[in-house]
Amino acid sequence: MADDNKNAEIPLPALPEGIVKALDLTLISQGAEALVFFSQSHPFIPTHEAITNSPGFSAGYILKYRPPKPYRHALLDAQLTKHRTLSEVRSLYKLMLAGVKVPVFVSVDPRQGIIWMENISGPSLKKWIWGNEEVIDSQTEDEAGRAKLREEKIKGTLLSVGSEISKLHFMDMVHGDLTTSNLVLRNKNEGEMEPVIIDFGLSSQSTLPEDKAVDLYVLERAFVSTHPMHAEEYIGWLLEGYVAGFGRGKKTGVFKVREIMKKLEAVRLRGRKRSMVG
Amino acid sequence: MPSTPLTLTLPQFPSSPLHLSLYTNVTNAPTIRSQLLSGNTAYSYAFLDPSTILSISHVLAAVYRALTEREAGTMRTRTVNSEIVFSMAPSMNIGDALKRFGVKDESTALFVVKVADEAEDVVGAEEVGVALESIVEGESVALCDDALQALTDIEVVRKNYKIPQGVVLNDRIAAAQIVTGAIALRGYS
Ligand SMILES: Nc1ncnc2c1ncn2[C@@H]1O[C@H](COP(=O)(O)OP(=O)(O)O)[C@@H](O)[C@H]1O
Ligand SMILES: [Mg+2]
Repeated sequence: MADDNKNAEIPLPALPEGIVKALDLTLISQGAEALVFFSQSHPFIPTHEAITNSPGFSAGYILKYRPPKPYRHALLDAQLTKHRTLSEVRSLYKLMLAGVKVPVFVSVDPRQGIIWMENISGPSLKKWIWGNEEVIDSQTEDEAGRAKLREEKIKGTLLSVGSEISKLHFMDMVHGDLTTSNLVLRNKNEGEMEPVIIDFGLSSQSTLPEDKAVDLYVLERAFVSTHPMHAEEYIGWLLEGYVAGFGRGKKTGVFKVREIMKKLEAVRLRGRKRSMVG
Repeated sequence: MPSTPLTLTLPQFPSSPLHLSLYTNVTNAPTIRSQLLSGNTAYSYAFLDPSTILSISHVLAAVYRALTEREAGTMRTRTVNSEIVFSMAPSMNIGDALKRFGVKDESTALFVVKVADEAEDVVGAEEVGVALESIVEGESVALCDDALQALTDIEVVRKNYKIPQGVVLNDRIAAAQIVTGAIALRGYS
């Protein structure tokens, strides 16, 4: 009986009935703010032999839903949902046009807090590093050998992650929640992983180097908590890719990134002082 | 014999099947336009100019937006047909949208959408084919993306959606992502 409709068991506060009935949704993440579902089919483009130029994705689609929060004032809640939903899709659209790797945005209903986008099939950066560390640790006991393997297997990907983030910051976009879970790796070809940035609900436009430094600092803290053993090494590689990415923007880029790295030092210092005071 | 339109149903709107037809060598566009303007109810279709259309999914994005607005009670125009034409546009200017994407006096091809709600007089695909035969003087073409592609004016699409010259539109799928995004974001950016 329970298998008749697997959606029946999921608490779906207000996901429009039309969507639940029409599409086969699988809940894949339940965060503080959003429910994330996977759907193999497109929300509005049916499969038909006459349709051959469809912007479809074989890896399927993601429905990100921000349900109403009963504990928040209803009107404020509706405004906040609309605001987050729209900042996310505006950023996704702008970044897609600029060629930064983000999920392609498909559709939005800001009143309902619904976003449809391309599904990125692949592990989060966090899981991908864990997987590699496990393999490396099983291959050799020797720390020098492990360090060499880390450089072989992990460095290249972190350089490209840094480079992708630099594109975001170069166009004065700040992510607002850069973590090792919000970076997803898409399997491109033979072991080469292509970084895709997700989760733009807190993103904003900013010309300030400080805001970009805070983005990087948040990411550093995420590395320290998810990969404490080698966080420093990983961050080093990522920032190497980041700085090199700005270099491609010629003079303005080099100037910009110098300012950001200066601010990053200051933000780190503030962070350390704060943790010392406790 | 009149040809039968292509019938598609959007998953979220199962009780509003869509009948889609394509005509070339159309000779009576001015008549159709004036009948629409005078509110003739026999002309209860969305008449689009195919030179502004990239693909079937491009139109479906507009239909989806229009049906979603109708369901929410937030349509900006009087009928679902005008709402579909309006929904093709990336901006909130209704008059401008109807002029750009709807049938023009100079149109020699037409993409016709029928939202076959139960309340409509003509709802079956064949019925729609017959009714359209007496409305459109032109040649009915089997609708598919290949046929549609031949009628697109890429530079018109670029202008309508203000797509910078730097973005190449040769790749129809990438182009479709840009225009469907613009349709979904209309009024929100
Ligand atoms: N486009 C996508 N492709 C693949 N997985 C996604 C996508 N968007 C979200 N997810 C998955 O859902 C999780 C939560 O989505 P996210 O946008 O990060 O929202 P939250 O605010 O809850 O963190 C992600 O960590 C990822 O696992
Ligand atoms: Mg997240």
